[in-house]
Order: sequence, then C-alpha cells, then structure tokens
Amino acid sequence: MKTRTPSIPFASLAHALLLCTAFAQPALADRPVINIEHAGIQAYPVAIAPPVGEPTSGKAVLDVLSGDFTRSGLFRILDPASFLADPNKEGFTEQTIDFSKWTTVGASGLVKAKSVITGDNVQVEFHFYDTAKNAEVLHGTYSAPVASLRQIAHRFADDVMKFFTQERGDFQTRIAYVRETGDGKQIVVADSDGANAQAVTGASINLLPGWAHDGHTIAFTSFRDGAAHIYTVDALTRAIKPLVLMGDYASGPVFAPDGLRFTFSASLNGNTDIFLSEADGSAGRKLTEARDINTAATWSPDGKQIAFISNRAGNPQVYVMNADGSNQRRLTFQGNYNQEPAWSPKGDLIAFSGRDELRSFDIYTVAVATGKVARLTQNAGTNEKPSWSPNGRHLIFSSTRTGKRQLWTMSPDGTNQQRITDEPRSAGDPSWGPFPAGN
Amino acid sequence: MRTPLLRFSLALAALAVSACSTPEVKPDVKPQAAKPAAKVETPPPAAPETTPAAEFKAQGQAELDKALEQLKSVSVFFEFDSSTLTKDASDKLGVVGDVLSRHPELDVKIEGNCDERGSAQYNLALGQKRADVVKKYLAQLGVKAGQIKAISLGSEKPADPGHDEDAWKKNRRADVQSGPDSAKPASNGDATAAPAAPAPTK
Repeated sequence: MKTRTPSIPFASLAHALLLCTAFAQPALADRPVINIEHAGIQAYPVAIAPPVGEPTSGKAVLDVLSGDFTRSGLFRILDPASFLADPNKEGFTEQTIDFSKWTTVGASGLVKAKSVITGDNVQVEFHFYDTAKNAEVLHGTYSAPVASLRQIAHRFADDVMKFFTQERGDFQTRIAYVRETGDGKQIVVADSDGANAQAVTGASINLLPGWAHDGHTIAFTSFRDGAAHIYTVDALTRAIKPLVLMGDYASGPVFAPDGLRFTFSASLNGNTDIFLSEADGSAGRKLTEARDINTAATWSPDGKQIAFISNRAGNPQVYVMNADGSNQRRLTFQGNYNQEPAWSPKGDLIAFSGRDELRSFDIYTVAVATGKVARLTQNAGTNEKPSWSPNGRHLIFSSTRTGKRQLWTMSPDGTNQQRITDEPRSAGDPSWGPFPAGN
Repeated sequence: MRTPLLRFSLALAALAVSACSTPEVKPDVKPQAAKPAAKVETPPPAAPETTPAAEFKAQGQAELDKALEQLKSVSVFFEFDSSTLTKDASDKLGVVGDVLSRHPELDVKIEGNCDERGSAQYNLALGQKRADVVKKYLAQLGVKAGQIKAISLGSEKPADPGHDEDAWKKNRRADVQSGPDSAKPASNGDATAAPAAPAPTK
C-alpha cells in the first residue's frame, strides 16, 4: 500500500463558488511528468470512464473536461466505445479497478468521476489514475452551484495540468472577442472554451478588446463619439468609461506587465504613433517618431521591450524597441504584410499574422533572439489575431477555414487546432485574459 | 478640435478595486444597460445640407446648392496598402478644393476607409493616413484646415460587402462628407450614431 501525502489545499479559492474538499497526490518523484518543452510530444492517452452518480451533471462535467484535455494538446481522449471495463462493477479504489482492462485499450491515464446534486448545488468527485502503476495519482472533490458546473471541470483540468506540468493551467481563464451582429460589432466575454459567451457592450462598432490585469476590465476601441477612440468596459457591471480620447483616432491599449502603464496608438498630426501612458496620469509620451504607421504594440513579459508594427520600410513589418522608445529595430523580413504581433508569456517568441504567397493571412511565430520564423497555419482560410493564454501554452486566433470567421485555439507549435466558437455571423479579434485572481 | 485628453484616472481606479472578485459575468445583466456611456450623442440633423443656406442668402441659394452638390458623393480610391493619391483622385479633389476655397463657410469630413484585408488596428491607421492625405492635398489647394476634419473608419464601413477584388477596390477609398458641422457624426447610419446613446433609463 503506497502512502499518499495528505490533501494539499489550494492556495486560495479564486472561484469563490468552488470548494475543493480533498486533493491527494503522491510524492513528486512518482509523478508522471509530461515534457512539454518539445514540439511533437506524444499525447498522453486518457480514458474517461462513464460517470457514476447523477448522470446528467456527470456527463456534462466530463464533456467539458474532455474538451479541456483535448485542447490542452497533452492528452488524447480515447473512444469510450472501445472500453472493456464495466463502470458499474468498478469502484474508485485501486483494489476495485482492473487496470489491465484499461491498459489493453491503450489508456495510460484513467479518469473517473461521481456527481451528486443536492438542491441547487452539485458536488463532483474526480479521480485520475496512472494505469501503468495501478495507482491513483490525484483526486479532488469540488462543489459549486449547478449553474457553475462547467467551472468545476475547468478547475479539475487546471489541477491536472498543474500536476503534470508543474505550471498553472489556463482553463479557468476567460477570453474577449468581437462578435459581428446585424447592426455592428460588440465586445463579448466567454470562458476559455468559448462557452458562456456574454456581450458586454452594445452593437455599435466596437473593436480590439484588450484585458487589464484585474481580469474584468476590458479596454476596447469604439466609434461611439464619431471617430475611433478608446474606452473601458467592466465585464461585471457593463459600465463603460472613456480611456483615451486624444487624436484623430486612438486604438488598441495594451497594459504593461506591471499592470499600470499602457501603450496605445493614436494619430495626432497625420501620423499614427505609439504612445505610453504612465500610471500617475501624466500625458501620453510618444515612443515612435517615424513618418509612417506605427501601431499594434505588445509588451515583452519583463516589461522592458515593446514589439509593434511599422510600415516605415514600405510595408507593415514587426519591429522591436526598448520600452522607452530607444533602439528600434526590424524583426521580420519575410513577406510584405506582417501584423498583429503578440509577445509570448515566456518571452522567447512573438506570434503574428502575415500575408503569404497566396495572399491569405496565416499565423507565424518569430523567435526574438534569432529572428527565426515558424509557420503555424497553412491552407486553411484566413488566420489572424493570435493572442497567448497567460501560461503560454495556447494561442487563440480567428480563422475563416469553416466559412464564417470563428475562434480557434492551438499549441504554440501549430498543432492541435480546435474551434471554440460557433457564432452565427462571425467572431474575431480574440484577446486571452489573465489568470483569475488568487489560486 | 478636440483637446488632447487622457482620461484614465477613473479607469485605473476601476482597475484597483475588486482584484479579488470572481471573473464571473453576471448572466442576467443586459448588455450596455447598466451605465450610459460618457458621451451621449444627439442624432445629427435630418437634412444638414439645407441649414447653411439661410445664413448665406446673399450668395444665392442656387450657388450654394451647386457647391453642396459638387461636394456630394465624392470618393477617391487607393491601391492596396497605399495612401498615395492617384491622378484621378487629385482631379476629383481639385473640384472639392475649389468649392471649399470659394465657400469658407462650408465644412467637410474626410472619412478614410480600407478593404477588409489586414487587421482592424492597422486598417484604422491606414484609413486615417488616407483621410489625412486628402486633407493635406486640399490644404495645398487653399482650403483652411478648420474646414476639414479627417477621420478613419478603418475597414468597418465597406461600400461593398463582397470579398473579392471588385469589392475591395471600391472599399479602399476616402469619402468627402459635406455638412455644416464636420465634427458631427456621419449621418449615413454608421457606427457613430445610436448604440452609444443609451435609451432613457427605464
């Protein structure tokens, strides 16, 4: 009988709704560690056994978990039709599980869950087993209002990711994007898997959402005063406030890693430049001083550098400068239309979209240190506006490959491309939000 | 002319609060219903073309009508990712410049537009560049800066909603919009109008 460390409580309850009552895991050395630093890893095959307990909530929560595992890029979900074990005869303890029936169908990992509904609340008990070791490697019990059932799955998925990768998972994060309606474009906030999409602005023309670090304030560009300027909306209250009204137009605020300073683009005297605003309210300082367009700034995670787009060489390309505007240098040299840079949370890559030889846009990354470019999408419609998840494990982007523009996620090497929206007209300009507070 | 104004102290205050609250969005709140936007737009006058007429009766209604007619529906077109005026564009703007020089009481708004290709953010910049190029050219023809307001509509107001070169070439344009007050929102049902003005509180 192996020993387990006692339950490890979560550092804090980011989701006040969720209550974790137990979470056990073996010593670190016993963990199956998935090496995620190399492209082309073998996905870890996982069987998700049919749930026991209340069936509707059990199935629903495992569907969400299965989606998270699939999008993670680390797990491959096995087809339940192949399963040999009888879930009604198996229990949750290692002694009651015939692991050979799971290894036979190719499962390295096994997930079991039990759901119980009491009044308006649901409690879900998850177990994750390493079938090669005939051992449970972690379990957790979570309760929440039934309406927040999906959050329970995301919470467990994040705990699984943390367990396997020793990094914080990104499934409890949120995304913002632009939804096209019949009358215009509105800013929408949704869960990281596209569910629970809620409009937070009306449908005039609202563009380019960008998250503040508090996780609920979203800056966006709107034509509500006649020309494009920058506003914020609080996703909790829907309160809209002006942020930057200067210039003939202003767009695209991006908050620095310190959460206080932010960059934006504005056109004052016939030229679009990048400005930096300080927290104390001192006026925006112009960082670029070229004759041509300078826009679409993105911060390095250490806050020391800013990548941006400039057409000073005749067409839009990715440039990098120090955060005070000094040492401006060109980073991309391939193609004649590169745009929408997004600096990775790990700092090594900048994702961008570029127009290829077939004149459609695709997603690329460029290594900051070497300038080496990697292509992530190809021959699948127009792909634009990459945005990183806060742990750098995923990119979200828009693609027209299924006809209407929708949002997709993928791993930073371009594998595991999965659609997450099904908007009736279109979804575009995604921006991945920060980690929720706490946790 | 708008005074350069950075209003983010309020927003930063908003950032400071509730750092510990949950990111859940309340599902029962209607979009946009909560707080009015800071600026409440009034709808533009129904027929702005007629209002300056009364002030300039001496010039004669006919001449003013003709001037306004010449400013109507003037669009100039651009190459892909370009803000360079073509010969055709310069010719059209020559007429506009002549009319505006003779009628300093008239204002125009230049709206720069782009085709759908490329990012919203770059297209906002490119549309502004196109509008500014038109403004600069008109200024060279003697039009006063105060008569012209140049704005960008990015790729948000395509003249043709199609997705091919025929549509795109119609959408890479700058439009001259005439009216007694170029600072007012365009009256062609564009983004500037309704939704920013919340309905009276229920």
